[in-house]
Amino acid sequence: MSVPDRRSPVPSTVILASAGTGKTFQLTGRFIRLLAMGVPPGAILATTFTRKAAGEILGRVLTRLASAARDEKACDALAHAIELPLDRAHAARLLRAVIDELPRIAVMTIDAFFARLVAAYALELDLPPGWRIGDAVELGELVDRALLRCLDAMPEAVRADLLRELHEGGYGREIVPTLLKVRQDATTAWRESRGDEAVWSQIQALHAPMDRAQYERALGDLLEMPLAQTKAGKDHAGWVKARAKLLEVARSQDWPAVLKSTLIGAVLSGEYYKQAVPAAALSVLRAFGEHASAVLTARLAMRNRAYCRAAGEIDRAVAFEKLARGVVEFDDLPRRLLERPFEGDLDHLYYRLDARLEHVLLDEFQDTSLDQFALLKPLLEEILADQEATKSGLPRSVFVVGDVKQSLYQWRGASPEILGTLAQTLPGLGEPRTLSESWRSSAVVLDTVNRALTDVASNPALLDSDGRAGAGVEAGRRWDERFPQHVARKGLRGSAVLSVANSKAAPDLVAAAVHRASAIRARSEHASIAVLVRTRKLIPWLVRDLLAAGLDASQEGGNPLTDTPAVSAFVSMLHLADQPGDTAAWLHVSSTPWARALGVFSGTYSAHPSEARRASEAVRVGLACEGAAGLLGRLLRECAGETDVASLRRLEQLSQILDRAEAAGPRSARELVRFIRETPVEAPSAARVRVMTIHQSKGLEFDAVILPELGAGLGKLRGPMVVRDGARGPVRAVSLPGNAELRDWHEPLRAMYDSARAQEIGGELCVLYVALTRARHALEMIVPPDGATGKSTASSAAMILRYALAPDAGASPGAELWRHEDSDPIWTDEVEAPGDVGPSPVEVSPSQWAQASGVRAAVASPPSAHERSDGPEPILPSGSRLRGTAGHRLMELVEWLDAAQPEEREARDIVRALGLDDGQARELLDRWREWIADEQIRVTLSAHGCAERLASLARLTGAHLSLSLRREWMFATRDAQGRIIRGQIDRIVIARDAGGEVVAAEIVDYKTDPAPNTSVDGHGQTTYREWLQGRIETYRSQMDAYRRAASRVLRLAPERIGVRLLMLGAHPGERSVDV
Amino acid sequence: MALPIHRQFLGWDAPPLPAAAQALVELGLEYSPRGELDLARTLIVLPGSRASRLLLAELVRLADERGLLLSAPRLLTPGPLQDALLGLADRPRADALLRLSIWADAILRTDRATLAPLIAHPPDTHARAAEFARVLIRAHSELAGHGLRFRDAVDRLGAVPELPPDELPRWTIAAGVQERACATLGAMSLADPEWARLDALSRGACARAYDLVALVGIVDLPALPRRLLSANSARIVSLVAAPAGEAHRFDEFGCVSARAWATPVPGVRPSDDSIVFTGNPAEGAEHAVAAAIRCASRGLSVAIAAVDSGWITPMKRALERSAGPSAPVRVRSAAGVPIAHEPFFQFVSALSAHLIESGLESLRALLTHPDAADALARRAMLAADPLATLDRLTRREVAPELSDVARRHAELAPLIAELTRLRTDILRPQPFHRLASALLNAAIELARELWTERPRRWQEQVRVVVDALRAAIPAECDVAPVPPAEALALLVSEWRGLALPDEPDYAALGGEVPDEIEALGWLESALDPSEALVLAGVSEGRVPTPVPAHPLLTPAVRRALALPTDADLVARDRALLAQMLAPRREVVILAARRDAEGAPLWPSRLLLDDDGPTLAERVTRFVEPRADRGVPLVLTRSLKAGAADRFRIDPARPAAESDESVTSMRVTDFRLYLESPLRFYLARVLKVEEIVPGVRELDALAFGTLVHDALKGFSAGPDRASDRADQIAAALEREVRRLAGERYGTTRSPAVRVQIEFAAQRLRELADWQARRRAQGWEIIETEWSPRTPAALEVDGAPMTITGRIDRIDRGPDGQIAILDYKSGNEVQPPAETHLTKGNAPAWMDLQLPLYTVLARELLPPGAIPALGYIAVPRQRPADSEHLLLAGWGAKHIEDAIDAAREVVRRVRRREFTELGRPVRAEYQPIIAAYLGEKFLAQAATADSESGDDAVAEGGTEGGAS
Ligand code: SF4
Repeated sequence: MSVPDRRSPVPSTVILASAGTGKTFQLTGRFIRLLAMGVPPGAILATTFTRKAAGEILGRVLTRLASAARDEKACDALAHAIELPLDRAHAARLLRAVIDELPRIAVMTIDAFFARLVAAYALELDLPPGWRIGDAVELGELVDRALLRCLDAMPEAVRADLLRELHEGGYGREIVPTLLKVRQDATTAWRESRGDEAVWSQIQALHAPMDRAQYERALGDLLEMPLAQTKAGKDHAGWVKARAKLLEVARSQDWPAVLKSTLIGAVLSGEYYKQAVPAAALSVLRAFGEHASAVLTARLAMRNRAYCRAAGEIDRAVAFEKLARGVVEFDDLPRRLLERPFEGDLDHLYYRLDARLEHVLLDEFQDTSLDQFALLKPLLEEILADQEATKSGLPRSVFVVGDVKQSLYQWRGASPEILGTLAQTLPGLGEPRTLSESWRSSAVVLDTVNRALTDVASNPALLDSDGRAGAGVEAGRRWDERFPQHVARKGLRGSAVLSVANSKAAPDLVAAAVHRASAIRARSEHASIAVLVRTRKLIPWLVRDLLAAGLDASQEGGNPLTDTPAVSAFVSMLHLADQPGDTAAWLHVSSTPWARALGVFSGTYSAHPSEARRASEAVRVGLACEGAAGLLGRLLRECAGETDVASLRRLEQLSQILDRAEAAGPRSARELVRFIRETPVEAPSAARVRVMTIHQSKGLEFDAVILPELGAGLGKLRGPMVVRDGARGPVRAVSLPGNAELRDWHEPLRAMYDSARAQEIGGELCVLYVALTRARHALEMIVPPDGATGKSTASSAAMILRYALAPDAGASPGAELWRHEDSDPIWTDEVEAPGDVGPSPVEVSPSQWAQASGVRAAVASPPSAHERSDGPEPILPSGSRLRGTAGHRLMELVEWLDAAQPEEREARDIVRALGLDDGQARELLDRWREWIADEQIRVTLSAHGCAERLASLARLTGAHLSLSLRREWMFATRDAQGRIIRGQIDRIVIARDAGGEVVAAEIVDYKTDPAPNTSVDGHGQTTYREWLQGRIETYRSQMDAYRRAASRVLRLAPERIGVRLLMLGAHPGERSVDV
Repeated sequence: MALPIHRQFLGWDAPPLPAAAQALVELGLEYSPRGELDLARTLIVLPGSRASRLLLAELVRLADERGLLLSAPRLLTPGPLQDALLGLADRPRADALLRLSIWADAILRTDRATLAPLIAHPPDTHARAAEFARVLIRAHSELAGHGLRFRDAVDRLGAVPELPPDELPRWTIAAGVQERACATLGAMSLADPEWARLDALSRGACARAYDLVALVGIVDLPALPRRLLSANSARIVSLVAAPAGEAHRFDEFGCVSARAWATPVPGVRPSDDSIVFTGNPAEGAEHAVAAAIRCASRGLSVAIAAVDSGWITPMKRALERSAGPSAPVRVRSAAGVPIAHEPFFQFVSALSAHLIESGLESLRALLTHPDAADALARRAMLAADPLATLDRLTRREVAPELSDVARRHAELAPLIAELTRLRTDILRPQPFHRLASALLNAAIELARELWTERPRRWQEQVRVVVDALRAAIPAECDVAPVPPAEALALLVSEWRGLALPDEPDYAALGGEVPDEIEALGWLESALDPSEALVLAGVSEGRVPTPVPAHPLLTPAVRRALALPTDADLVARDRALLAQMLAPRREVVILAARRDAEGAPLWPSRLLLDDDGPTLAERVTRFVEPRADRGVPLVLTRSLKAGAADRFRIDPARPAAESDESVTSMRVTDFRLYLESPLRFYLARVLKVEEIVPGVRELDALAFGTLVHDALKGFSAGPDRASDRADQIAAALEREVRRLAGERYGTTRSPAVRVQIEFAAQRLRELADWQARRRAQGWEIIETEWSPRTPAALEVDGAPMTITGRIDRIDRGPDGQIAILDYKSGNEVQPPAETHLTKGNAPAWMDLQLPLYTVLARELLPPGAIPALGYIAVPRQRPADSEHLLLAGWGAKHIEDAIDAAREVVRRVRRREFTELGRPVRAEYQPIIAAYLGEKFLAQAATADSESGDDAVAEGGTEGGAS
């Protein structure tokens, strides 16, 4: 018997996996291993960040199990990967288990996991109980409303002060945009600082400003300050000029200009015009520098505090609006959950989830935000602390995988440092394992990556523009700590080239990319090519030019549909619907085929409003009657021939998103416009040249990658800077960046700036890394040429690459700067031809429709009694409906009035069951007694009278007819078109002759409409007589329908069927009407 | 006494409905007089309304065939069955709205501390309380279906030790709310429907007498109707859509036995051929319709089980795309279409929204509805199109109160008065039913304004909506429990949930009624009589139907209360699927790989009810599309794209060029031309104007105008000669407030109020400077000056009229003249920077100030060069309090500028308009930017890459993909 292994067979672990090293493979392998060891699928939580990625993980688990179940070799490979014996039958059983548990399997986005928690605690969190995730458009509108609400709620003086402070003490015109900017820039910082104004007040003036007298004296000192001398012993002319300038701005108290003054700058460097600043001058100048910086710091401090207050006010107002509308954003979920801490209460959580989480697998961990981690941490700690074996015999475990170098989402709160320091935070996880063997890329590509991104700290491109080692170098240093040398696992051929565009202008960058793509395509028909850009702006343009160059190109990851001219003109048309006076929109529409399709266009644009107005109305009518997608479809039928294939495809997508937008009901033209402009829609195609942003390319790979947009500067800050205690600790200070001159005079501010910028640049290095590592075989890097002044001193990806790969070369337009020495153009031979794309579709034409028998069942109901020639009837005064129902019920008690009186007791029961109060009940019963005493009604409802009428209808006067009475008779029959007609008739008497043949029938319908109060002889009042006539006319068509229906059911000619209205509200003597 | 329930098995040889009808005729004849089929005392329960209609049709056919006089049976779905059995149908019931409002009230009346363990953040408005009420009512309904009150749940849960300790208190609090709500209803002599059933049951009531109750294809029944059926004296028959051989899989009611259906019926599983995996719902929907048509072309009757109702619209669209309005067949949604899509309902809804908001935006929204605009215009006897008036108004005013609009725009006054009348009439505290009638009557009255002139089709649509809303007017009672605006909002949102029958547009079809493919719900599909069935959207999460998550009804609580669990629903849906597959001649099952937004989907477990190789293969097929050999079906396209995209326009060649020549130019036009000849052309020649909706505050123009006009008022007033800063400041402030009061007096926008305050502050700051200037001997001699005879610029022998207005002309102590322009931008650049480009060879980019010398020629002594400059009224007090920014140009400069102006005139005369130059900012003028299209794009991209202003936050929208 062997000694049992004390180590857990599934130890908790962290894996740092560089690009292409098989992260998903590791994670899915772990998942399957857990299954194979008997862990129930529902006890495993696996999270990632996009629904697509979550789908891929579960998909991989399923396919790996499925192929193992089908194929011996695959089964062996899987057994090897999970380091457990496995046979095909076992694999099949595991697959079965996963499928059976599909609804309980928690392979999901981390947002979805939190949403599940929130649902379980719906009544306990400060969220609307029926919350839903709002779409971008409604959130946008909601924020707009919240800003106004927030302004409205503030006391006037506070409001004015706050806005003035946001405008740096001035009276800026923009109010709402200013607040919007605060919201965009500062909300995260405000939340992280828990709204603590003290945190926003950390930046304070380092010196006290001078008072008026001191300042006057200082101005005097400045006038008399010793200047540097020429050899001839005269004051240096440059100095003289500079002092005059400084005096001017100092007198006018233009503080930024004071700090910008060259002389003040000289204080910091200690020299001016290569001459040392005389000591006496130094102290005079320093006084000005310190004073100006003190004043400006005070302004900055005021603005910081205003930002904090405004961000808080806005956040509260937005939260209020969200609550009122039942809308949340994904970000809200962890925040609300954090308000109800779960530590120590995890059993409760498992109870609510109805699942005890035994194993947690966290993917893309570098994208985790602090809030998310704060929620996950107690769970992870609990698992790591609880090492008792579970039911499956295994202790619980945690598995984390990620790559700090691929952290692209810091701008929206991801904190890669969590991953970087995870081993310290959760010691139970042990030291991370690093994967750096790439299964994806060729050695040439990886070598290029290694060269470009090793020792980044020494890359001159990252020096500050003044040549100092600042934020860029700091970012490089941190990067270098995390960057392992990448090794190729597969012996692929590859190539890597650094070349120069003709200019830095967008058209030239696009042209260069198109040129490279064409060259690759010329050598390989099948190679997949990606053109990766940093911003969306170039995408439509790249696609257009690639297509024009004969390449099969598509954009990916979704631009709004307005990239297509027909869609953008459709948007103008929607805009015109609401703004008939918008001649710009009309000009746009009338320049396109839409105008003709609308049927209102004369063919010549005219600024005269009438035509635009007619078009506008046509669109509004279309929107109201057909919905946006319906309108689009109709117009498109008129002008599809005037689009091209790609455009028509985009228009079909437009139709789909419009239907989606209007699924719950129509939306205003304005909302639709916003929705179309803001909804990204992928243009899917099998195109082999794909254009997308680097962010969108994450997780994808291509044979060749072209990077045309590398020239942008690095390290631009947006919004306030945040300083924490340690990498992930509480926020210690927040401040806006201030300007460069002020930072020179304010060391703490400068330090904050450098650290914020280092982080920003770190993020941009990640973007570059991700871009480079998408390539399997070939990398084409395109950089802008040098400007007139030679090499740029600004940091950019382009400069990083140039210094790393071709440090000495000058970039002249169109040149090739560098080519990897092992570049092998015939890498193209290794490109796999795309597999066959499956069977091609079979077309079915609607004209093949052949009516199948027997299944149609259109049902027509008899026309309602509410129809009139001039529109629907108004609703009657309250109370009458109930009285109407009661009246009917009571009358239905009547069988034959000449045979027996209906039972009073039953009548009282009916009235009581209807819940009428005593007074109403008494009144109603009185009336009923009056009705059944009414002579005319008695005749109508008497067996005798009825028999006479029926005999006459049957033209069988004198013959004996047997009558059968049905009350609330439900009929069903077919009308002339074969539709089923059904309905209910209050009372019908069917007469049969001696032979049992139906010979006549009489229908009676009770109407309880109250007569108008004729004692009020008001002008314009309907008179009683008009009313009665009107009623009868109104009911006539309904009665005709009853007659027709009865005629069919009874197989009786219509003229043998009598129809009577009993107008119970009419005057006595006018109540029984033969129709 | 109750008889045992008789189960009759209909078999799987053919779709079961005809057999069911046959069986019912035989049963019915037992109760009918000779020559009749009298089913008046028969109650038939079916799973859906289409099954009801078809069964009725079949009964009519059979009665006809045998010459029997048919009295129709009562046909029901399981929902109303209980009330029918209890005879409660007529009792006035608290309908949903009233009940909701009373529960909300019960929550609000519970004190916060008491409520806290259940609802941690108790609501403080009725609207928010209603949200919590909805959650509780859901539990209330489900529990009542099983004969339980919350108090009963408390009792039962108390006996379950493994529940966490906070569970019981939550239920106890909920029970308190429940009792309070139902007591309130009771006090109004109204019944809560669920509560009424429980009461009736405990009273042993069983009112309505039927001879026969038939369950047809009912697969599950909650506990309460079971008890009611068992207690009923009628004969009860269950017609089961399965062969007798499977009898053991059904319980005594003929419903699915969960235990027996834990495994599928061997041989009745979806085959590989029948399963089709498609990309997204749109593709799937097209395939579904094509497959249905193909079935029909083979002579099979066909229906679609729209398992995912989100596929129905794409199916309709696919047919429309393929065959247009003349398609021989249409897709009909059995569930109906949301009333929200009906134009007349939109009218009602926009009207109510406006009554609630009563602002300019809601008025605009109301008027964009064609019926509303026409009817209101008619009612208020408006001459002009009110929307056009609003357009004009939007350019000048920001969110004014309507009363103010009415005062200032006489043409809108009657309209606003009419709406105000409606508002006072409707929006007052009154019971729901009165509120509903009042709103609907107002809409009906307005519709009647248009009745005779609108087509029949419109009338038909209005009638259908009015009937539906009329039927949905809440029950009568005398309490008005909610503030009127909230009540109206609740009412309309409740109405929004209504559905109307999905009828074709008969009027438009001119009698030619197309065939229909019925798109059914999951529950009713099994019983459908069609020979072929297309199951659309069979994804996990749809089928098996998940037990809805509920914060009180946790899985453990469900188990403890014996409520249906996932296992029950899986069994039921497995049975339904078997019933769908077994009797059909053809079945097509469709599942998509992604949803409409691109997120991954999984096929229903029920499609993977196999073991071993079939399962593995099917999974592989789904996950790896390349392994899928299924043939996609598409509909032929009638829409064909052409060779070229004619929507790709050349913005420099609009639909029609104006051949009007430019004979006069404003001094400011030159800047526009120099910036962008194309935009000059659009704005000045074609006179194109963009209107930006939803303005929340003054834009630069409006703000500037306010400041200008205040200064103008001051310069024309008695204080113009003052050299006292405080006096000037007071005068300026008075003026700006007066003007603002006139223009924006009642604005609803708090932002505008701040802006007015800021404008006043800026002017106050200017006062110091003005006082100093006056003290230096400068006097204001003209304001808003323009020449009496138009000025002209002679160019190549022909004059070009130059127009414009000079803000202010000052005369200095020595008689010198200064021509000055007010600038109220946030930052004001000196003229040299605004008029000339930077660099070694500066070029003119603006000519406004130099052209003033042409404009003001008549004022100037010959040869005199006036001082030209700006008076800055900027955001921040200028560092030296110097508000005057002078250009300092000499004669040569000015002559040079005039030459540049001449060159502009020449180019304008040559109609050089195609160059875009600097593009507009898309965020300010999105329509113009869209019109400029690629031209704009190219320019904007260039401009951006040069400024290096990249969007660092790229990937923003992709980010939310989780
Ligand atoms: S009176 Fe009005 S509010 Fe009260 S219950 Fe009746 S309908 Fe509802």
